[in-house]
Amino acid sequence: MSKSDNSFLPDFSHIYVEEGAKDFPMTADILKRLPSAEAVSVQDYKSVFNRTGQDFQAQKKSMKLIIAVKKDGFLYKATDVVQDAGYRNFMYTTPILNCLYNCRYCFLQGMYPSANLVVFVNDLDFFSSAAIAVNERSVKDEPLLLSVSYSTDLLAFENVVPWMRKWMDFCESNTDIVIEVRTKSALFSAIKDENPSEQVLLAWTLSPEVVAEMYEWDAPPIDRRINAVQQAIEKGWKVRLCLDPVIPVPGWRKIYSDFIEKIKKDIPVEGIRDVTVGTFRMGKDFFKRARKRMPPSDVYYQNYEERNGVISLPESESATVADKIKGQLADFISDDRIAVWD
Amino acid sequence: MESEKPVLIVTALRAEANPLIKHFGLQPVKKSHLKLYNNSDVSLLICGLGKKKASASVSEFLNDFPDEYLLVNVGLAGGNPKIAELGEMYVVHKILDELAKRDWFPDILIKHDLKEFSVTTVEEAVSGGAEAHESLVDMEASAIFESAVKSIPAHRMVFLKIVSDSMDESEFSGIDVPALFEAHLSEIERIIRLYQHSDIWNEPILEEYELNQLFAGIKTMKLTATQSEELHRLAEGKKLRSGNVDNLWPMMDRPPEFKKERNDRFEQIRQFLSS
Repeated sequence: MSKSDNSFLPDFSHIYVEEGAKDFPMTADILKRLPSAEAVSVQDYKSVFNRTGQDFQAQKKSMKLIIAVKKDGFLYKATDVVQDAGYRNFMYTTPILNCLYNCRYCFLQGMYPSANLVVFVNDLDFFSSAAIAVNERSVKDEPLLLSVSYSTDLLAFENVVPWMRKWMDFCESNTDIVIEVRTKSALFSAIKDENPSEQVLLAWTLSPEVVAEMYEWDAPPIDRRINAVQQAIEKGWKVRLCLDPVIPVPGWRKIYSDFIEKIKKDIPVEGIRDVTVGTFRMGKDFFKRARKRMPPSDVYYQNYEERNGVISLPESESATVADKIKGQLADFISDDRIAVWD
Repeated sequence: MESEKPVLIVTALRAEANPLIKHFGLQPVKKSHLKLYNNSDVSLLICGLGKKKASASVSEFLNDFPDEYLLVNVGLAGGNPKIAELGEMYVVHKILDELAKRDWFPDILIKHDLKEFSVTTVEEAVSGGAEAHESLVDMEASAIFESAVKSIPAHRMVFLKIVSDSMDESEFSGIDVPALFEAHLSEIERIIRLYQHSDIWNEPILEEYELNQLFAGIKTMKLTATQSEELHRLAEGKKLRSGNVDNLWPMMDRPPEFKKERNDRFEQIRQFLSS
């Protein structure tokens, strides 16, 4: 699938604005940033987002924006498929539903009925809930790790909706929280004037070029992502690198071996906080739905196993991949700074 | 030459349909009692006035002639003169069913170059003037959408409304329906062709001849429903990984004598397709 067919309207040609969201400052800000969009008033965002008759992959060719107020469920306990990388108080939040990109292996294809993006504009409600979660965290001598980019790529969207800066501001007044912003974006420039913070974990997902071209075709090319990592490190950030998912394409050993050598060469180790490694995994229901939506991708047609409701590579294969990647990283970064999803 | 994608045009009135029938060179479909016309790629259904008739006609058509349609509803609408011009044609981005208080949203993915409005579908003709509704009003759109969305995705439905009046009863008798439609025929065709030739159509992983072979093999092998479903999925995977599934057909070309033989051979097929 590609967006090269220029008969499609550009992304965000239409903005559906929930009536209850009209008076929020963030709504006015978004509408100002997208002045040529057609604004359509809706009673409840779910009447657009959850309606029947949507085709996720078709909608990806011209994504629309939905501005809404989240009523409840601001924070969630992290699921087994999300890496906690050693944090025992681990939650995630969804200020934006859906992503600008359409990575073939992404669970979002099976999670939501729509490919359109929902932006929640009641930021203060999110922050109140986060503050409560910090106070109520079970392991008091550790911070709360909050994944804020779980169901989206916040950094990629920062020039449209500055949700990331809002979370960064929140961290300044709440020292017992660390936010993880996982991204494939090259848009470090959107936050370049922010001071590096131990409380903000910038985490770039990196894949070898051949894998990125097959499965992350509309995310920024790998060199641009690496460039963004370099810029962040230059500014004093210590970043997380995510080799996740590692996809064992034909010849993967050599492909990933070369790629890790490139990382060692291009990214200064002193700027790396840690590395996470994982293989493809997806909740069973999401997997089934994603495959049914017929993305023409072989990623849904491999010999997977189901373990505890999660579809993934057979355990032995997954371990082989992880061992290989860890081994290759051994002379670059210490073992205790490599977290493997298993 | 690849055939054009199928289009279903729905109009409420014969007077609305006539210019379209002539323009597309449509012929009556005699085998249906619906008011139906077609050519090789375009069908036109006259659904009748009002929600009830629209719903019944569209449901029956889609049941009798199932296909992967682009649905285009072209119809007259009342328009609030503060925003809509008499005689102009607009694309609808939201349909409000006034009685049900329910909204429907066609997914507008394709550049159409027309102005957009919402339409309110009402039970009876609106004659209260400009204050009655803030945008457009019609009598069928919500029912057409609701009936069609069960089999046609929202991005393959287009609602085009031509403003015939300002919701003022005194204007109704002077409406020249054919003239209003004739003025927009080329624009209607442009939009239809744009959709037909755009990348909005799902292409199945297995081509038609491969699906036919697969279904024939399933029948020959007397596979269970579960085995058939798994075979279909595995064949799609094999096609994506290796480009073709031609070596599958000889494995399914003779019937098994026993259930055990069927299951053993299915296991071999499964291993082949998983490789």
